[in-house]
Amino acid sequence: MQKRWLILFSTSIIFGQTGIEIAKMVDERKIPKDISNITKMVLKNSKGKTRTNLMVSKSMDGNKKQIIWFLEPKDDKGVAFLKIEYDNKDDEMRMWLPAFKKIRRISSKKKGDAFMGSDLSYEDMTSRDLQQNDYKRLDDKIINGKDCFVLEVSPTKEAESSYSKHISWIDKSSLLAVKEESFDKRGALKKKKEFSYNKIKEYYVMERVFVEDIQKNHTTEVIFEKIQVDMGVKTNIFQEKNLKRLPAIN
Amino acid sequence: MNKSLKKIKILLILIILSVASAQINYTGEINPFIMTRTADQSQINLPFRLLSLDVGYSKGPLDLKTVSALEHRYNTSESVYDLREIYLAYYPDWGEVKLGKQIHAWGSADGNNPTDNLNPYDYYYLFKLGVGKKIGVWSISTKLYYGDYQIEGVITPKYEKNRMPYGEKDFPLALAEQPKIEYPVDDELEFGFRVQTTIGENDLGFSIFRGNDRSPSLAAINYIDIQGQKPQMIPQLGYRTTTVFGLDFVTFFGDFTIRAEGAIFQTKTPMIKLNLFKIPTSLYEFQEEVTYSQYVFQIEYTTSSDILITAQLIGNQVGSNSNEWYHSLSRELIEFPNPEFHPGMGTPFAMFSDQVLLFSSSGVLMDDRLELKGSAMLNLDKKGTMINASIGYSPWINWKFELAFIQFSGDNNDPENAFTKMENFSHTRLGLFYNF
Repeated sequence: MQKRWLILFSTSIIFGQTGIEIAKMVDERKIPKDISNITKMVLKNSKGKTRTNLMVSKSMDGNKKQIIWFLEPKDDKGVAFLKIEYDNKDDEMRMWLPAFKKIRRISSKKKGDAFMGSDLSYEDMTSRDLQQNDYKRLDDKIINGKDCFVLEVSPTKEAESSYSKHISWIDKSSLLAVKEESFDKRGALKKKKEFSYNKIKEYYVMERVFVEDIQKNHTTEVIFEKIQVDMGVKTNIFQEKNLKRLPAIN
Repeated sequence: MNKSLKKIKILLILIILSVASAQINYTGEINPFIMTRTADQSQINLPFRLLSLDVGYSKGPLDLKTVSALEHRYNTSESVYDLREIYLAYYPDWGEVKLGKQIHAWGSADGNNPTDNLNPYDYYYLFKLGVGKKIGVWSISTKLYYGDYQIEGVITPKYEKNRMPYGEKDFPLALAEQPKIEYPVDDELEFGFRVQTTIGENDLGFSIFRGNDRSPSLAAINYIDIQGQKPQMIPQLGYRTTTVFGLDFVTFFGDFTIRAEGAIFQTKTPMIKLNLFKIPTSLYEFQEEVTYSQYVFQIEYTTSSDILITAQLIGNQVGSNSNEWYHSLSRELIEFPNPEFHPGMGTPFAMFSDQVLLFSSSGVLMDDRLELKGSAMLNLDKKGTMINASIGYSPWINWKFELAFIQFSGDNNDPENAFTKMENFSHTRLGLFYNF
């Protein structure tokens, strides 16, 4: 009898969690110290025509520091992007343009701009600050056989987001987001995202993101290949000067 | 002999092993195109870069980079190899050091940079974007990264001047022939220093550069007065020395990005070094000291459809101008007419006008397959406009066909107006790009 009460009590605790509590659990999920990968980004328009970008990416601190070098298409080869997120000051985003031999500063307020013509915006590539969003738990749902929490995430004014809200489906067993819908400032559905993961060492690492821009009738598929985690990526690689140097591609 | 051969073999093996273990990156472009004059559909025959190739060897903190081009002319079928850059770069933890023939890029604005005077310009490629219009200089540069600060120093021991299209019938602003330079640069050493910092979301840069003008100017006159003949004043050219104080910044205002830079130029004709025993009695030296300024103010905005719109105000203004003529031997001051001042350094568009407004826009459609670009330049000083538009289509990845046209309009009542002279250069360009 006592055991039944314990199970019932434990179950009610798990299923009684609020949105912010679930968000905290997701935020506290174990992540690699650093990730390196080859990123393939396939853009597809409404007519089915595709364009593929190939990049090398290195990141650390839960993607708060990221550096990307573009390999293809060939006219983009050499272009590189650096992002550093700060807690107490504006994020830094810079792009190296070899044709101009200059590093261009990108305003952190332009997060809504598309990244390299894709359906991912700069905002989609930055991590969400727990404190700059409001969380509301919606009814749980089963997606692709996975029992999921459903959270409504609303950026606060402080976040300066280009979205009014997101609906995120989070797998209860792994605390990984499997699907997300993002809404523009007018409240209209803007993007649908699907995420896939692979287990590397003791981590679940994203291996695929599929983004559909409902309003533009356009999709972007991002595939992460040759993923390496905890390889000892040094902090000093996230410096402007390294934008000018293509890393070794293994 | 055998020992020497053995040493050479060992050295070769070491080099091969070193190169084999190094990472080699390359990128290049093949870009043939033709230009036909709008007025009569005749072909414009100027050299162009048919092939560009960037190769980099990286090993640890060292890079060896080369940038080459193959310049071709249709009318003569001549191709000339141009090693535009070759330098060794070292990337320690604190910054970067580069040694060799290189192109530098200072300043915050796009395309027109009064603070960027480390490299001369190749006027054959005046309308090329980015570093395509610059000439590499043999130099050593060091950049230190310290917190939010970047401190850079550049020393250029060997002087390089602008490459001008002398004698090119198809380039309207060209002189008929290369002028003789009586007084080449004596002190070739040039140096520059720049500090950049980030304050909030703003980047701010200060720079100083001391060098020699890239275009020649009047240094003296040989006054020949033969009895019974009309006196002749034969100009003799040299290069002024110029010090540039620059300021540039980038800031963001809502959805707008603002980039601006300004520079103050202090230019002076250097003392001519003459053989004391061979000073001609008819030589009159011209000493000029001018302070002028150039500025670029740029505002840019990206629409929700990812169309980039940019407006630039470019200006050039002479502040103080003092000049005098004196006889080389007696040092007696003479009254001669003063030549009109032309800057020998700074943004090349200062040769078109003292103030221009430049609008440009670019956008891509069909997943970057279709690229549309347009720009318009309005001369605010005198009458004159330039309109440039291009459409590029990429049927396959790494290939692009481009159709462009450029139209100059000047003032029929002012044949000396630069825009009037350029009217005959209005043309259509059809080209192919292949990137590898």
